[in-house]
Amino acid sequence: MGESDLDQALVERVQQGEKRAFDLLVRKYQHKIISVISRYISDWSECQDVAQEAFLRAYRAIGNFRGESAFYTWMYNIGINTAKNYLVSQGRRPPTDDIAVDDAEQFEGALRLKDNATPDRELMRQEIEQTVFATVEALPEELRTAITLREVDGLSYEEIAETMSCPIGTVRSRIFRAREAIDIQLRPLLSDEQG
Amino acid sequence: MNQQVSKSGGHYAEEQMSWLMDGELPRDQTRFLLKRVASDGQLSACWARFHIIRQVLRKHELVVLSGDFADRVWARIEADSTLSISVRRGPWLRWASGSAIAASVAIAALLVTQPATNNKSSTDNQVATVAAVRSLSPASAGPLASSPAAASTAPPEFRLPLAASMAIPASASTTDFSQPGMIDQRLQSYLLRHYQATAPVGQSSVVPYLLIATPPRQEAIIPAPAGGENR
Repeated sequence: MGESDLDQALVERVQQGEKRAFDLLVRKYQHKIISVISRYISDWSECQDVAQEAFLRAYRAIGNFRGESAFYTWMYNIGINTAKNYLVSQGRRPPTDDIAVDDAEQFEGALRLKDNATPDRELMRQEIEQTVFATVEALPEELRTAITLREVDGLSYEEIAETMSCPIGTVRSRIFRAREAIDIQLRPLLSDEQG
Repeated sequence: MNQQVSKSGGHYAEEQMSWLMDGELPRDQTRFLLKRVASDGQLSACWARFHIIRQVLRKHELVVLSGDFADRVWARIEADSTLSISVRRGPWLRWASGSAIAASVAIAALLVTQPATNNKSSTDNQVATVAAVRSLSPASAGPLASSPAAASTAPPEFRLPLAASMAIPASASTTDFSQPGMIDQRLQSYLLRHYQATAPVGQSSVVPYLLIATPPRQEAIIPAPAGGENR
């Protein structure tokens, strides 16, 4: 099951009444959606409110989501439309130059939230990034290789098992142990951030 | 928190979260894990942190959120009873529900029209016999009316299976179908209800066919010509 399949599986759970599955989708995509909305709305507080509204709209409409596109593509469009509607309701003109969802991640590096990022948040972001990279560098080689092949190169467990010449169970364990090690370093930083 | 410790030293549920985010957790285990997440906020937090790690390693935009963004979304979903998921019925489901209504109406219509078709192929004496049987108590009328011989008096094109013909005495015990217009009125009532039920969803109906196939009431009391041929 790929990531898109996982999203679809979570959507189906929500459609079957398991609301908590939607919470996992929110926590998975909250950064990306807020990042998208921040291109339209520079005020940080408004941006979060609009993002919240976008997720609520998505929840209301998820019964009609049939997986014809990826969940993120669908959610991305809801985010953009919610932001535009908000601007119109405020008497402001929404920008006309939309970024296609496929290009969005390429733009993200260049379009950081410089306008609305407070120094505190920018510092926090840098700290989180440094902590993650420093912890990965300090991992034992087999854990570092496993997590890099998974997260950076996007290989499946089966492909990683072939590459590292080890059983899939070992790959699972190594990837988790790598995440756990990074997580332990991140927790103190994120205790005041999101859950 | 009652977490099971895995072989690798970590918590098993968190390890399952790791597999889930990679799409490597079997579906049955996913179901149990989601149930567990519903009662364990720490697992949701773990899921969120694992995705932050992913965002950073993939060099995707990382937005530092204030406090409890996801918690507030969740609270809104939980608190607002109007936030229900609207599910659009697929075309196949509409077709199936319409067909089920049509089928049930058709069966009811066939059960109601069965005595009339018997009458159509009978002489006046046979009509009188049926009426006499219905006037008997159910206990005494049952064996006679439900006998295969009685069921076989209907023309082949309208003949019901034995089980259906056996159902006739129970329903006929309270209604005298030999009264002119009785069947047409009841059938008309069924048809009206059927149209009301199926029209809003745009269903075509099988019932008009039954209406065409149902013989006019007058024919039911006209004795068949010699030789037993019906037109």
